[in-house]
Amino acid sequence: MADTFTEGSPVYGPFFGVMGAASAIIFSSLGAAYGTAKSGTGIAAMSVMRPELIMKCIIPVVMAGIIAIYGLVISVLIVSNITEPPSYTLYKGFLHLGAGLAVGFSGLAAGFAIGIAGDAGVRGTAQQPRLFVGMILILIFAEVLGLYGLIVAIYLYAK
Amino acid sequence: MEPQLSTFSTILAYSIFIIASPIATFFVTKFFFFEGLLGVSSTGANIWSAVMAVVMLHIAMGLYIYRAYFEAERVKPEKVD
Repeated sequence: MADTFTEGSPVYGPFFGVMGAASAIIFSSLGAAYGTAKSGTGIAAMSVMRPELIMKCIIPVVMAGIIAIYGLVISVLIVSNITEPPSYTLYKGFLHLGAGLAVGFSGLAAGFAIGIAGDAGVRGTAQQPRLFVGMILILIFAEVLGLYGLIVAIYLYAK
Repeated sequence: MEPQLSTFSTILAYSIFIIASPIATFFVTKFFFFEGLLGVSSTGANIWSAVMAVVMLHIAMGLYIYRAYFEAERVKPEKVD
């Protein structure tokens, strides 16, 4: 077994792929958790006075949850492709690490943006309901940042 | 129905839909459509199923935003003093 290892497919090759799968879900969950918690405090503060707006203001939480699903998708894709070292080249490991980091850190950034913009957005919507459309647009642009990372990650994975 | 209960059941239904529909789409399109009908290789089927799952996710979220946008238009706050 050991003599089949080559320079292009060493025994530590899957390490990079596994780290890619782990970082994809870790960092995007970190971003989603921050987005959920930060906008959740905003929802809790504003729904004391305007409980009928809760359904509108859950949207930042839903969008933060979607960030974590991006990371989950890439993580599952990478894990389904990791095999024993001689058939798993180092090149593939690097690609998988890059895919995981791409979606992970984009998700982290998008989650931060959703959290901060969602917190201020739901507090503002409680006082001026016409702000709602603006909040949705800002949240969509924040969430698209995570989607860009997902696109790059799928492109890297498919290489 | 009480407004509180109807809001809760609506949000619960949409939450389950948003969480479950991409996962269901991934596995259904992977095993029945891409690998079963079209005979794509496993890697290709994975990638296209993931793309389909993400598209489905955005459709589900769009439905929720649409519903939330027009829901609150109808429900006027009742002033109780």
